[in-house]
Amino acid sequence: MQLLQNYSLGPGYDEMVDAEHAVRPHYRALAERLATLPVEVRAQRQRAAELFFLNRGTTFTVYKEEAGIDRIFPFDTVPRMVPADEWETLEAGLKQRIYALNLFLYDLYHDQKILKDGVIPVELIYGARHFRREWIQVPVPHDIYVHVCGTDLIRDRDGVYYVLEDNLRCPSGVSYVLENRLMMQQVYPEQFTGYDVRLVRDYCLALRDVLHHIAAHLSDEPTAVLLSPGVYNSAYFEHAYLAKQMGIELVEGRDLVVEDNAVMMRTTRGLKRVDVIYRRIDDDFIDPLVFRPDSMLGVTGLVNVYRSGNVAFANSLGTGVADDKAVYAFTPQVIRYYLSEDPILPIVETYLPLDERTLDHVLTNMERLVVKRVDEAGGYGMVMGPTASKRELDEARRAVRAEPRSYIAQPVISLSQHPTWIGDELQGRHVDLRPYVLYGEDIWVLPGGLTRVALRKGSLVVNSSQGGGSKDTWVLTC
Amino acid sequence: MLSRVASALFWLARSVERSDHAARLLLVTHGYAQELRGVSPAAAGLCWGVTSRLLGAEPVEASDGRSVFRRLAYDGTFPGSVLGNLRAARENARGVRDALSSEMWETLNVVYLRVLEEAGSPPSEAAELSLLRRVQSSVHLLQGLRDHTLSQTDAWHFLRLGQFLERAGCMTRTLAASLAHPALEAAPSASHAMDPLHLAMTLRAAAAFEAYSQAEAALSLERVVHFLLLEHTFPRSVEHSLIEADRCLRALSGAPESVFHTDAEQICGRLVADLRFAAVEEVLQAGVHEYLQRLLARIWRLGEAIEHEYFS
Repeated sequence: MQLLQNYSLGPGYDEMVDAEHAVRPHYRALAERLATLPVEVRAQRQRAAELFFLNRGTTFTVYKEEAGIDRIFPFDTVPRMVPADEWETLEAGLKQRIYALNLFLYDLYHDQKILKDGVIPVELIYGARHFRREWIQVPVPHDIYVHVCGTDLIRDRDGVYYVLEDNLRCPSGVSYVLENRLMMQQVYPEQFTGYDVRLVRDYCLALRDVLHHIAAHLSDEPTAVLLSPGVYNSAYFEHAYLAKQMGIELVEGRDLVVEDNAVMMRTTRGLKRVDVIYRRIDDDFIDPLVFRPDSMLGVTGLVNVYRSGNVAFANSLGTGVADDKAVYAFTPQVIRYYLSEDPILPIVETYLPLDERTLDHVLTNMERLVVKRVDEAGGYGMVMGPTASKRELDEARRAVRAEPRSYIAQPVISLSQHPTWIGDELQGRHVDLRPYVLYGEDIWVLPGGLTRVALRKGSLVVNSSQGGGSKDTWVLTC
Repeated sequence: MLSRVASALFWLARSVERSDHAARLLLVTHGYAQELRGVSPAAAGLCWGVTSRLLGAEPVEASDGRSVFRRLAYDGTFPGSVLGNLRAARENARGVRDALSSEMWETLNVVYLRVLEEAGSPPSEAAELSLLRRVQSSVHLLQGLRDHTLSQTDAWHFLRLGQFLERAGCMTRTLAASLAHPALEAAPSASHAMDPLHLAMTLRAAAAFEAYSQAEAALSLERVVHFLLLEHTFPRSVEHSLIEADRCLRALSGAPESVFHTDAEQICGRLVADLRFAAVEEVLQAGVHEYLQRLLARIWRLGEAIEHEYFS
């Protein structure tokens, strides 16, 4: 095939092309179609896709001088495909994981059996930045802590999926899943021919059901709102999008007020009671009375209302302890402890430099490892050993030695690569996958998720804050 | 609905109405200044000063119509410009995207982005004029989408209230400025040709020329003032705009006709009653300029009362 003739395989797994340079069966129809697409048609479609995002305002705003400039998020139009059998395993593994993590959170904030049984060191939990002591013994509706979860998966050389991290606080990006699909359907409708792709559109309805479920004890027709930091937040587009699709009010902290131990919103007809809040503000900013007193985004007294059960939150407070990167190292034990099952999805080998021997190992092997701060996300606080300069490595060594609890180290995983349009040719670029899991009346996994792609050649960092893009993800029905 | 959202919708609608008004005024002024050159070059030079003041800009040297035009259309740092108004509308819309239909948001977003793009590109007079026409049709599309994609709940009423209140103000100001237009003085020798030309321009600036021509046989000052101020069947007249605003206010508060629950309804109801029973002869006799200034002050107070009642 002309198009893939000069395509080079990287060191890792390739999603479309196998080691013998043959296109994998489920990608064949697509590859043929891409090969016959004239260059000028592709350029036209690319422009149409950019306009699609720009016109709809699927953008983030860069503020320069006074005027805001709208930028679209980088994207690629070659869809990533996941065959049905692969997806079946992923889905089962993700459900198992969120179920266990939720039992774990319940336990941490109640009896702490897992700590008493010595499965996880006590100091690891109490030392975690996102563990909320003030949350112990506070009941949450249906004992569900994590209602929306975005778990990052990667594939190693052998094609096996690994869990890289769980995002249990305010995972974002799902709107790009929905928008990428809509764009593909409008701009490349013919690429779908011959493929039965599972729907993603019903995500918002499923999320709304979750919100209603956790507030069912407060009202027969609960009033749900989405709490956003406002238009200057980089995920504001997503907040507005989800609120619109769910048909719920998009509120900011200044729209809410606590009165008579209930959360009210200021409306043109006076105050109106709110039963459930899908909050897209971190714990730290949600209530200046309890957390950061300098927060302008939150609502004074909100946590107290939550504590007394008069309003429901998705996600609950204090969930961040379970996506702490050091706690991550123990998640296989967590799954075994609560479910007496083996984990379906493996995690990446992780070193906690808590004892002398491991610390030594991490320090001496740092140029072969990835070092991450345990409480950071979004690709921040991360040093890639093989590509870091000597100065960066020395700095990282000093930092790890000073605060061993704050760091983990992992072997460098190469990440799978996926053909991606670079100019007029397809080149391999690294990808990961973030499926979204909802937990309400039952656990539901959005088929597919966000495939993030590192658009820079050779780069292993896919985060949008670090120049990553995204692509549509197709879960096939067979 | 949230007070913050209601306020954003109200101001969004006002800015949108204003951008349509500004675009039309610029197109009409552009044509009028050109036509006047054949009658009185001195008078032609005065047009841009009047339009500048109407849109809230400092009076400028009249000699360079082109640069005034560009500033009033495409200078984003000037809030009264077409771009400035579209930007204000879009900023408000961004904060309340969930209260608008996706079609409305996209229409506003697209027209804003195109005008912004044009503002930065090398000027071509023809392209600039056609873009202003595009602004107008986008505004009309937006208002149509409002009426055909939104349920008729509070959000819809606030959007309409903003539009009609703004329209009442714009129409009153335009009429006042037109009747006191210095071109009328500057071209006394040609006044025979001047008067109908000027009245026609006044009607065009209010998008009323065709509707007026169907209703009236001849152009006369008295009939033009009547039409723009008191003709309740014409959707841009001040009276019609305030009747619509009154309806929105009563829909919001649930007050039946001829009863008022809020200060805003009282002010608006009185205004409507005064206009309904006014006669154009009396208005002209008492002094049309003073009449229009008093009207403007009352419309201003109405805006303040709405602000106080619903947004603060």
